[in-house]
Amino acid sequence: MNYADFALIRFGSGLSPRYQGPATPDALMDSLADDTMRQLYPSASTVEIREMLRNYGAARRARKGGEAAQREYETRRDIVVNTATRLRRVRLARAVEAPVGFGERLAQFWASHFSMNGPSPYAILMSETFQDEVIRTHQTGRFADLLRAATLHPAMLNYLNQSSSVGPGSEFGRRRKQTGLNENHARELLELHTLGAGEAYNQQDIRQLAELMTGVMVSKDNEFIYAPQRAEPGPETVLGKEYGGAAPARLDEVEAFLDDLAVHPQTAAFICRKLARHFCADAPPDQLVEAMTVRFRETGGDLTQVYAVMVSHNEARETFGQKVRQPFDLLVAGLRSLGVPGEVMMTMKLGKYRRTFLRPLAAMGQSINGAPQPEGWPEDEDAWLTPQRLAARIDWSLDMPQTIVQDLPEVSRFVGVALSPESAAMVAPIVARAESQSDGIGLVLASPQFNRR
Amino acid sequence: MDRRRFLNIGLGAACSAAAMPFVTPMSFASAPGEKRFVAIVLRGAMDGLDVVQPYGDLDLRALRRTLSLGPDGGALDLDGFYAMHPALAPLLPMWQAGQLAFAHAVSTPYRDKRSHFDGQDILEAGTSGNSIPHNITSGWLNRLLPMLPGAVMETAFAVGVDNMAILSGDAAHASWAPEAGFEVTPQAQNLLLQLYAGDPPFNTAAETAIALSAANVGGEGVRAKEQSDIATSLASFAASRLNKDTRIAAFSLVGWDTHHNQVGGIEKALMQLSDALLLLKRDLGPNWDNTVVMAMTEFGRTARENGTRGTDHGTGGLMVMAGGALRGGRVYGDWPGLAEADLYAGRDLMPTADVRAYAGAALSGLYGVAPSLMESTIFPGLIMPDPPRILL
Repeated sequence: MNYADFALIRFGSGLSPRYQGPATPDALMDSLADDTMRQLYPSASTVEIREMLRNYGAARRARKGGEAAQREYETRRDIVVNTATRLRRVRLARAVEAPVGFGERLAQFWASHFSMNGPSPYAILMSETFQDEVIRTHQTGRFADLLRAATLHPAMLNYLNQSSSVGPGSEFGRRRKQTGLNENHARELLELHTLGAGEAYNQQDIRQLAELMTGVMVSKDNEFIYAPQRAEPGPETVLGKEYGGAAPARLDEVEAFLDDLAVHPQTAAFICRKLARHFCADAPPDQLVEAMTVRFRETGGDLTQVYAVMVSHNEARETFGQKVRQPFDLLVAGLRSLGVPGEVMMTMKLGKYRRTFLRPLAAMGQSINGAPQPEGWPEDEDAWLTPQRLAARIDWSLDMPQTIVQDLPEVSRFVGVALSPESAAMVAPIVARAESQSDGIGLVLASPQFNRR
Repeated sequence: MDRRRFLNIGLGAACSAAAMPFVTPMSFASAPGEKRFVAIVLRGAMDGLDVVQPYGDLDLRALRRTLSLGPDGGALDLDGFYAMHPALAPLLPMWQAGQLAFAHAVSTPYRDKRSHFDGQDILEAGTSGNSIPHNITSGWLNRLLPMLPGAVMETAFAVGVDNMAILSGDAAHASWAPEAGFEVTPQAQNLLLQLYAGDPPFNTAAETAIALSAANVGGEGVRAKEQSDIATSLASFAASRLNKDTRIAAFSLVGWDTHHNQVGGIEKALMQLSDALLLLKRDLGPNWDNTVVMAMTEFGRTARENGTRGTDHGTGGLMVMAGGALRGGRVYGDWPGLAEADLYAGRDLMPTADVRAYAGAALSGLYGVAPSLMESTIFPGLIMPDPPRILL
């Protein structure tokens, strides 16, 4: 297999009759600088979302004031709901349309790492703008910048209840006895976002960190604010180092901790192993993880440098085929293999889009609204290959092609487009015996070779 | 803890399951005995102090300002000390019939870290300590299966889309999500199996899917249309299998992680639990008399209400038990008290019993497993000199 095919399957959105793929690791890395997809299918900024929600809130409060007010409310409500629907399509469209798709794959990885979910239009808007503004902006920079932006974004602060955590000894906490500390965000920040579960921290660290983070919150207007009057007074000791203690408390005391946490040796090891687990193998080779971790530490957490080690490493090649495509990526790869342009995702009627994408995704175990738990999507293949989830993959593979594409390709030609030459040789003789063209295409998409990368 | 290794077990199970494929769907020899056991994993850490409220303990009110107000807040008095959350009112007849019981102040051996994911892994592995020992590669219900004479794949069933680590391991078991629909032509099916022949994880999953979808045609299963129907869908499918050759079933219910505005959140979750238990009783019919259901969670929640009208991750919690084979109508367990000095780490309900002791008592009573095997194999490290007498 040449590098271009390998890179598209392993690190990108999958093979396509429309694109050749990057011939070298350098070319693959260069593709990360291409921002065309974000311009072609724009998301919405946090500021725009805030404005939209503000207008909706005002119209909702005023809606009893007569017919015009009611119409205004309905208009504003429809804007919110329709934007939420549109933004959920954007990720799919970008991944399908991207020449390589490595940036889109990384965005999926980081969205699962900084996981959040929720079916409400509000949760969808916040989560999608988070993915575009925080993740797409910072995923090729320093991990410290990504961590800081993710930790302090209103979407994350709401999702992990940080916004309602109040220092019991703070000015606000002493006045309002029914308020108090909520340690959810502090815990997930250490366990899921940086150090990983283990011996690197204890309950005391979590408690102290929760105290250090008080004051960090979201305003009623969905804006990040720092409220020193809610911050627990006095310094806190987290991971053996003292932070904070200024009076009044300051945001940069929290940021100082985040900067240290981002380059903690355990963070480097945890992030690199997780990347290698996602892209290369459920049990990634230690040599690969080690090489990535060394680069992370040498560069102070320069993520592009870490990716560069991974995509050019011999072990990434050796472990080819060991990962099962996650359902979202299977959908994307299926559409690409059929030459479907990303625009189709944006213009498809809502009912058809739900039947063809949203419901199958959920049945395969990966709701478009995000992972059900803050730990994000599972990496191990047995989580995806239960009988019922595989059944959903097979159903979709057999049903989708003729729903989306008018003139299906010849099966014998399609095998060569959708799969690497080595895989095509194994799959072609079997799918040639399908009863119909659509079954033949569907069997290629349902094959283990297409479902693995 | 080595979470990866534990979760990988599913793969081992899949391989061994492949060695005994379905011949004709559901054509197995009669299953071992008539006793039935259903495990429900309540994922997210259920607040036991709110579900069965120890309102007779005067310290409760000082800890909770808006939650767990006892009969004053509409909870149903059970015995003058405990009161049941009002959302469980539909279960009151079951309690009165002696077919519903609780065990309070229970926990797994997992301590201090309070991570949902590690806590659930420990609960489902059934092991001692904060990490799973390297010689344990399965869930505790899986280790029971070889002790059941005549057990086959269909004897144990994992129901729903969640991965049930409690049932994963070397002994084969079946799994299916009743909400899945699956129709493939015979020729496509034949070609699929050829494609999967060289890839065991795909092969096993596909063979099982084909067999189950064939067996479920015209089946009794309820298809979930809404989120709120999922509990009844899972329970209905589980009951349909338990009325045939299945004797062990496991599924999970979510929605218990009530950090924020617990009043609304826990009500929804309890309604799901209540629906599931009522449906199991109804659909199992006469088999209900041979059944024990145990609903357990990874840990309890903080004794104190937090600043956002919710509760945070804690330690001691509650087990919910139901079934016609149960000696119910009572709350089991030694009450540790809620005074400052009685709390675990000054914040959580102090566990006074191991969840595994109750599960062990049920399994040895139902299936005649010797206590020594219980302590060495199913729940390694558990010491149960005087198992609670929870069965009739």
